[in-house]
Amino acid sequence: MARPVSPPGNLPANRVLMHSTDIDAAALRRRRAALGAAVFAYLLAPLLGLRLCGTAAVDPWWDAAIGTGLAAMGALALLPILSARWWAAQTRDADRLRVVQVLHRQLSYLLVALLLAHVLGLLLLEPRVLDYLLPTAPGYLLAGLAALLLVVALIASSQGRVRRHWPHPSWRRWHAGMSAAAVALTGWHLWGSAYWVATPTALLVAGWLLGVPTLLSLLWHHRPPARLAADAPHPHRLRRAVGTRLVCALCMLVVVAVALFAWRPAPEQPRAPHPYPCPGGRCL
Amino acid sequence: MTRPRIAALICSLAALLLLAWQWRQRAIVAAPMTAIVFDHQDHSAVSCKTCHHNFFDETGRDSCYFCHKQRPELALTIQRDFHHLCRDCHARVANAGYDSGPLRRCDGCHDWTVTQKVVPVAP
Repeated sequence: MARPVSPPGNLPANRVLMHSTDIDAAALRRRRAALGAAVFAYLLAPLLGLRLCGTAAVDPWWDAAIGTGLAAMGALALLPILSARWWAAQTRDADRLRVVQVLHRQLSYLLVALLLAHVLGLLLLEPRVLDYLLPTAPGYLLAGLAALLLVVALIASSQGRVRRHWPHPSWRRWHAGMSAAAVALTGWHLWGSAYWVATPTALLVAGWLLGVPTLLSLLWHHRPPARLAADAPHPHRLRRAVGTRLVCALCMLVVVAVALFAWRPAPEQPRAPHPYPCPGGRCL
Repeated sequence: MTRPRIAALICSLAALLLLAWQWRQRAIVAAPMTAIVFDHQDHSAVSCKTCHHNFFDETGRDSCYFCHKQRPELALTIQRDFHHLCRDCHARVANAGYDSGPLRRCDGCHDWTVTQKVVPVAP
């Protein structure tokens, strides 16, 4: 049976830290599997949600480039949730915190890779897209570029934080502010550029997928989740490997999901009447 | 960093952004237009009024360019306005489950070998 102990000095008195050495390895594996499944589901949800609510794929390579952008949107929405800060409030289990920390860091690298694949893919397919990276481009496209630069700045500032002796509270404020700005800019970019899935349902799905994790992380900022039991300790190499394996599996799943998104037609639905019927056969 | 320095930094950034914004507005107005490939035969099912509103609301009888590119206040939003007009219509057809006009790549509509330089006039 778990034995309650006194909380550390910096914790509220009503939080009870539990030693729970009786949690078996199978339960721990189930928890990690649940965490991994939640990450997979949320990262791939924008692709599946927009495919189900949007139009059929008509230009596979172009749609694949767009799909990487949508997967990046899912990764960006997940990063605030996969923050060791929230999980530290929930558990004292260093293993789990380490897994979350590794996931957060590697998912941010994956996010940059997806964003670069999105931009470079579109540039390769249509070099004139370069016009959309210039200052004269429409605002929603500049918002996407600014979000990419913000994500790169976030990673660079996080990596150099210890080396430059940046105080943690100050760094955390900047990190949270820049992250919120990146999510908002991504939302603007999606709203402006998703004309081809511009059905109200599809945009609602995208807004929901992008907004819920952000709102949840903001809520946790003010009301941290209740503390749970600690888990049994595990070797250092194992916990690093768990985080790395999750991200590798995630990469493979993203590739599969983007391929499905780009090549799979939308499900058959009853057709609405043609907006511009033309008997001659040469329709819009 | 002290508060006066932070305030000075914010003011400098705001001034810089304002200058960049004004330069951007001028650059958008002065940018040449890329010609589009448009076949009226393909669009014969669409009412003329959908595009040529000026024929019906007494705002002119000329081509779109003479207002939408020459008048700076309209030239600022010409790309958004025309993309919404053409692309959103194609998207509506595609969303209804039919083959539509170009939706994705620029060269589906634009002819990059031709650019039209239209000199802006004062409002």
